[in-house]
Amino acid sequence: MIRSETLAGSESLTGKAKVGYAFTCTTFISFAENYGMIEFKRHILDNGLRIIVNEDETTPLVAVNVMYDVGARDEDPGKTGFAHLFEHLMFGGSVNIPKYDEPLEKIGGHNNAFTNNDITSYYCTLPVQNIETAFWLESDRMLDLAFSPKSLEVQRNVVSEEFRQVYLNQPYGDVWLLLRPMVYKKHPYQWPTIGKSIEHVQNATMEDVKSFYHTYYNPNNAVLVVSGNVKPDAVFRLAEKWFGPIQNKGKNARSLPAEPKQTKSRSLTVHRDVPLDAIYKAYHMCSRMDAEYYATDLLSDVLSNGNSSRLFQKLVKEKKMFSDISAYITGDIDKGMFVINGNLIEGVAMKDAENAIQEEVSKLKDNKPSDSETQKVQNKVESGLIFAEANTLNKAINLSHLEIVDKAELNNRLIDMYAAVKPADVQQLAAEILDENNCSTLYYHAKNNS
Amino acid sequence: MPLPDRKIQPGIKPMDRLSILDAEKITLDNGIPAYLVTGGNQEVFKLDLIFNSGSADGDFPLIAFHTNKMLAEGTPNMTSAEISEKLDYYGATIKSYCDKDISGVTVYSLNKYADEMIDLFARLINESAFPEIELITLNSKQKQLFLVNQRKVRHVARENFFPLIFGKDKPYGQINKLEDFDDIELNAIKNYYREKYRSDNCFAIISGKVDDALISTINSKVGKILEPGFREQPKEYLEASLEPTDQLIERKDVLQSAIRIGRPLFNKLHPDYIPMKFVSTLLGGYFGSRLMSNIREDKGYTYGIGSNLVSLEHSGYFFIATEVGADVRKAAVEEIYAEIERLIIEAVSDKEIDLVKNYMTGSFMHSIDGPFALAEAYKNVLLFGLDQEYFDRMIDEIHAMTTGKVQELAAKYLKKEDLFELIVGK
Repeated sequence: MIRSETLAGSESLTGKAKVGYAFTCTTFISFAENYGMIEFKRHILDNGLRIIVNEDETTPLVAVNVMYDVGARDEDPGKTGFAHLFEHLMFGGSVNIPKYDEPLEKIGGHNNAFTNNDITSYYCTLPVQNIETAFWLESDRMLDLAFSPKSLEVQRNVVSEEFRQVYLNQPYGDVWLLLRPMVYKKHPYQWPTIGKSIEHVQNATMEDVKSFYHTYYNPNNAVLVVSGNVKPDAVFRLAEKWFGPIQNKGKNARSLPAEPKQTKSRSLTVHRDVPLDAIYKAYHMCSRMDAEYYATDLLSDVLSNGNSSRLFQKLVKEKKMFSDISAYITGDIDKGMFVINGNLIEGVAMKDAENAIQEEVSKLKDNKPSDSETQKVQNKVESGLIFAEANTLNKAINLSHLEIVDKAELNNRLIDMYAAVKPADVQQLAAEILDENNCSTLYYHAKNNS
Repeated sequence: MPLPDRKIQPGIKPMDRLSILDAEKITLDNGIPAYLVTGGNQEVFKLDLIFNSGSADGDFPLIAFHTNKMLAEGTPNMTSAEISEKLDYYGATIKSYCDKDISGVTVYSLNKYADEMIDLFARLINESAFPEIELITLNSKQKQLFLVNQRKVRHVARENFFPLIFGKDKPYGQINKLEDFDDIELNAIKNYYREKYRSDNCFAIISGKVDDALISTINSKVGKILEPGFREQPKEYLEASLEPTDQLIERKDVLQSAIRIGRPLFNKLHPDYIPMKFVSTLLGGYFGSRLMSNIREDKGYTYGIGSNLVSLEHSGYFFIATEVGADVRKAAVEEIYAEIERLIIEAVSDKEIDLVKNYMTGSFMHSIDGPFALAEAYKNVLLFGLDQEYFDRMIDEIHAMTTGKVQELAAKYLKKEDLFELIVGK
């Protein structure tokens, strides 16, 4: 299962918990014969903007997603949190349109955006007959922004409140602020999307903002995906009309420091004002386009996808050492993290809890999973995909992501990738990845329990 | 190609009036009404069985929650682990949920495994064994979650708003307490199950790829379970004399304080429900709303603020909720009241009224997009004895809203002296 740490952008409605759109799971991947195939057409404008259209006649709504190939990994280590702050500023007015939201709300549309370590994405869903408004809005903020000083000032405060709300004022909220710098010593995945500290966000200047925009917010650094009851040719014509005139400003070559291989186990112990102890173990794993990515994903599923999974049955149900435990991969484009995290039952010692996890991991290293256990996690992936296919926004975001990672066509080859995984592959990866010398462990103690 | 005019929004085409087909109603062999919502291209379905009893119907709320959660934890012939193994192997999901007025169980499955999964679903509901050992596991897990949630100002505010506005001993005012986790007994759960999980206290909604084969499978399994004999236990839901009060639940070391302001109101059956939903949307129901524009986008006090109207079986409530920097809490509360006051004394422009009309119409389209979403929308009207006609009326009433009506309703229902205020933090 993939769990991506993602920050939602700008929308907060009706007092509900704010939910960021995350590529939450393997659910859009399949290997069934008739499913897992999304038909689409591609067109590339002269300025380099890639457009992908999936025709879906079952809905009166259309989903439009613009994904930019820029994320927190592209930030200057002295100015972190910038990609996400910038996402907020994209709603502060563009060169010809003072307010992004209002024209969209006027036609019954919904929108939001999210940023993660790799990418930044802006999406809206709206009644299909007014799709052109989405093209007008999105193209104008790709053309140029208003750069209003007031908007910058306010969004610095809003993001600071987001930092407090999500990372500082929540029990266990600072976990990623602690874990990432332990796992990554060179690569920019060492800071979370929100940034290393509130100060970085608060010190952002207009000059920083403009330079970031001009470097990354270009047509040849973006993908536009439309899914809904539309004809591809009509969408391509709209794209030519609204995005065609935007100038190609050249592609920014990315050169990120590689993370050196970890050779010794790392750990950090903290005491916080939380009710109960927790443990986090983060291991280095492969990057998204490596061949072993799919087996690594299934390895996390064998350990913890569903209530029948090993960690849940053994450690929560049988041994009653954890109230909750999960294993997942971060699904990053560069070399990512394989994470096991558990919340301890009151009275269980940290060392015993860790040993219990290691014991389950050892079993997987010693014996490959059975054919039927492997089949089970594969079936779960298949079913998840079929359900996810019903949603146009899901499709638009997933196709965008794959187009940035590689090519959207990859979506229709995933079938074979997952089907090719053998029980022995899972066992071998358990041995390679789940090694203490490849692991950073965070012991998160409740203040009174230490 | 000539350059497009970027200053003006492309021509707006009117939204089509959606014609929503009424859900077909059938009756299963055991008398359970089932509503069919067919649609979508995928070979998948969702079966939802909804009981008209919830957390407000037990002696304390945890009884209903635990009863509901334990349905999938064992039958005489299957352990909890075997149930999980079977569900995961077939890629199916069972979700159980419990609210103040209702409890339900939902299964999502591929049609090709309908026989196996519906059989399992029916057994879980009909033969649940409530093993003691599973209660211990569930209880310790839920207790930990409770303890963690007590450190979240948002959660504490959401929970404690109910006793504040409904009265702490009234069915809607009762909330989970730490001692409930120690007091809860298996017998209370088994009793709740025997009293409430009856065939004449529930209805089903079947959505997705619904064909004759699926209906027949469901009738042959779910149409055979449970016994009738539900007896309604009348309760006093409302404490009429409750005076609006303010409460501060102090949390000294917080960076943000949670604010909740609102009042008891009415449910979907009240003639002012939809019009008030409109007022609430205008005030705090979308990104460009009054509260978001002022408190987030102008002042930067918060990451988000919103308001809503919630419909309960015997009542309803209106609320505004946000978390703000602890240092600006007082200023934020003042701005919230100022925005409410502005609704009462200042006429809203026609432009803003039109925007909210279109926004709400679009929102409605989103809320019924696809068979599963439509099933959910149906559930929320069926629970009040309403049908598809409610959707049409909602659109008509939204479009009939005027400046004067907004002002009139705000003056009637949002007077400051009628509002309860809860702060968690400092």
